[in-house]
Amino acid sequence: MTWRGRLERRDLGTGVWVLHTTDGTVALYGDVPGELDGKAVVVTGKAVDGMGIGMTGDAMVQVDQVKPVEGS
Amino acid sequence: MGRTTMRWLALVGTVGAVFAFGPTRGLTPSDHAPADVREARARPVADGVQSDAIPGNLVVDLVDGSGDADLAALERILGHDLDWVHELARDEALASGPVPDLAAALSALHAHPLVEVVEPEIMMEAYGRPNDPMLDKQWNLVDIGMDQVWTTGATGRGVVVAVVDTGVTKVQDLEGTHLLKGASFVPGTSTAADDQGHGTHVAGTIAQTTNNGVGVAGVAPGATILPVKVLSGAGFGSSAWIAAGIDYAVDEGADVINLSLGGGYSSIIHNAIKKARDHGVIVVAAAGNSGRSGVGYPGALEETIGVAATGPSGERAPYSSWGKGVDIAAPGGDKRTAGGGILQDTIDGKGGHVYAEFQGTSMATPHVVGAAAVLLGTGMAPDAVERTLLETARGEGWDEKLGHGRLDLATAMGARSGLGMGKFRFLLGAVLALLVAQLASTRGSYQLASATVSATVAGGLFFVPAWLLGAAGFLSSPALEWPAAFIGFGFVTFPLWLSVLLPSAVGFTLGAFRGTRPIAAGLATGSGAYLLHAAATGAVAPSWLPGTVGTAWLAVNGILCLLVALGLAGAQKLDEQELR
Repeated sequence: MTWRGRLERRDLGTGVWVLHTTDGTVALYGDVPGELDGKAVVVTGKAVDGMGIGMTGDAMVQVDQVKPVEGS
Repeated sequence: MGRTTMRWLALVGTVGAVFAFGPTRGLTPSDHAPADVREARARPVADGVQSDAIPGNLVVDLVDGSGDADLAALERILGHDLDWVHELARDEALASGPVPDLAAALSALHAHPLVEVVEPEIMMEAYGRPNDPMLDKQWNLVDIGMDQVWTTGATGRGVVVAVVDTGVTKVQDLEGTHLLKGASFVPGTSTAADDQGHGTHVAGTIAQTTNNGVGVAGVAPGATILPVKVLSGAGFGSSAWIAAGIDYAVDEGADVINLSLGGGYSSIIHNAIKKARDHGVIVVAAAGNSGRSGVGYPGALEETIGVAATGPSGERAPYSSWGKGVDIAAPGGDKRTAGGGILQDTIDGKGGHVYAEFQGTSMATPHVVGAAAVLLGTGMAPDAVERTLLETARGEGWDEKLGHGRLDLATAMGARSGLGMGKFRFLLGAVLALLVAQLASTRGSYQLASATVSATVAGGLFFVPAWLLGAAGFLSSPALEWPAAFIGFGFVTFPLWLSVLLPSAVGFTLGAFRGTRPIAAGLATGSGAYLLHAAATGAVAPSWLPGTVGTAWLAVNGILCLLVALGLAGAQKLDEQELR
C-alpha cells in the first residue's frame, strides 16, 4: 500500500515518525531518511496491528520505502 | 465475667481486629520464580559498585545449613579466617572477614559448591546522595523523592524486573547492574540485546548502576533486570511477540513488568497480562503519547498501572495521553525546557553508548516500575505495593490527566513506617503491651516501660521530624526494620527475624532480671504487633514463604511473641508479690 502526506519527526523516546495524510495521521515504523523531515513523501509499506514505542495513538505502518514527492 | 476474663477478651479482640480490619494480603513476590531466578535474587547488587566496597572485606553466603567445618574448608582455601556474621543469621550461613586480595578471594570462592553467593562487603551507605557525576541533571529522581529514599538504603535488591521492550544492552553505566540473559521474541534476532536504544534507556531509569562514580543513577539499582526483546530495531512488535514475552517474563519469575509500549487493544496481550497478575506480578504500562484524550493499550487495561508523564514543572507533559486508564503520573520529561528530558545511558547505534535525554510516557513508566521494585524489596506484598503507590501519589483524588497524582516514592516509603502504618503499628504495640501487662496485673511502671518499648519496636519513631533525624532517618521505621539501614532489607524479611526467635532469646536473657524485663516484654509485644499487622496487611512478607504460608508464619509467630510477653508479665507479677 502507499500513503501520501507530510512527514514529521516527533521527539518521543528515541524519535518517532508520523505521516500526516488527508485521512489522518499514521505512525511509521522502519527506516525513514532523516532529511525528509517536514517534506511531502510517498510511503510504501503495510498497515500492521501491534504495538510500538511511539504510542501516538495512530494507525501503524511498517515502512518499506519512503520517497520524496518531487517539487516538495 | 471476671476482670481477668475481660482482659483476655480484650487481648484476643485486639489481635482479631488487626486481621478483621487489615486489607487483604496479596501474593508474595514471585512465589513462582524458577530456581535460577531465585538464585539471581540472592546475588550481589552489583558486585559492590552500588555502594562503596570496603577494601579487602568479603561476605560469603554459604549453602543453608553449613556449619563450622564447612566454614573452615573455605578458610583453608582463602588462607584467612572468616566469622559468622550473626548467630541469628546462622540458618542463612552468612560469614565475613578481611582478605588481602579481594579479587583473588572472590574468584576462589565464586564457583565453590559450598558457596551460594560471595561478594565484597559493602556499606549500605550511611546514606546520602549517590556519587554519580551527572546526578544533578536528573531532576526526575529528585521529583519522586529519591533524596529521602537513598537515606533508607532500599534499592529493590532481590526484585526481578522484566523490561519488555527493544532489548537491553549492558552499556557502561549498566555494568554494575545485575542483568539476566533474557530472551528475544522478535524473529531474526537471537538475543535480548538492544538494537534500538529505547529498552536500554528504560532499564537505566529502573536500575542504572548507582553510586559508582559514573554517569547517572537509577531508581532501584539493586533490582535484577530481565531483558525481554519483543520490539524490533524499528521499535515495533506484533501482539504475538509481546504476549509471548510477557508469558516468558512471568515464567522466569519477574516481580514487575515494564511495558513502555502501546497500541490498539489485543486480547492475546490482555490474557498474558491477566496471567501475570494472577501470579502476583505487577504490570506497569505507558499511557501513550497522543497528547489527547484516550489512553492506549495495554496502559488502559484494568490489570495494569497506567502511567502518564510529567515534565520538570510537575505539570502533565504535552504529549501525554489522558483519560480513563491513567492511574499515576511520573517524570517522562519535557524537552521544551533545557535539560527537561530524562537522562540515562543507552546505546548510540555505533557500537558505543551515549547519555541521552529522552521524553515520553515510555520514560515515565520505568519510574513507577523502579518505585514498585524498591517497595517490593522492603518485603511489601505486591497488592500492598500497588495500593501504596497510588495512595501516596501527590494528587487530590483521581483526575484524568494525572490519575491518582504524581509518583512520590519518598512518601510511599514513609507510608510503610510513617503516619499511616507507623501510627497504627505504634498504637497497636502500645495497646497490646498494656493489655498483656494488665492480664498479669503488673505495676504501672512496668506497663508504661513495656508499652513504650513495644510501640517503638512495632511503629518506630515516626513522629520525629525527618530533619531532626538526619542520617538516622531509619529510626522512623519500626525498630525491627532498623537493621535494614546497615545490612539491607533482605535481613529484616528473613523468616527467622520475623519470628518469635529474637523475643524468646531476649526474654530468656533480659527477661530474667526485674529491671530489664519490661524491655524484653516490650520487644515481645512489639514484635507480636508488627508480625500480626504484617500478616493482616501484607506490609511485610517473609522471604521464601509463599502467600498463605508466609501469612501463617507471621500470624503464628506474632501470637507466640504475645505469649512470651505474657510469660514475662507473669514472672514480673510473681516478683512483685515476693517483694511485698
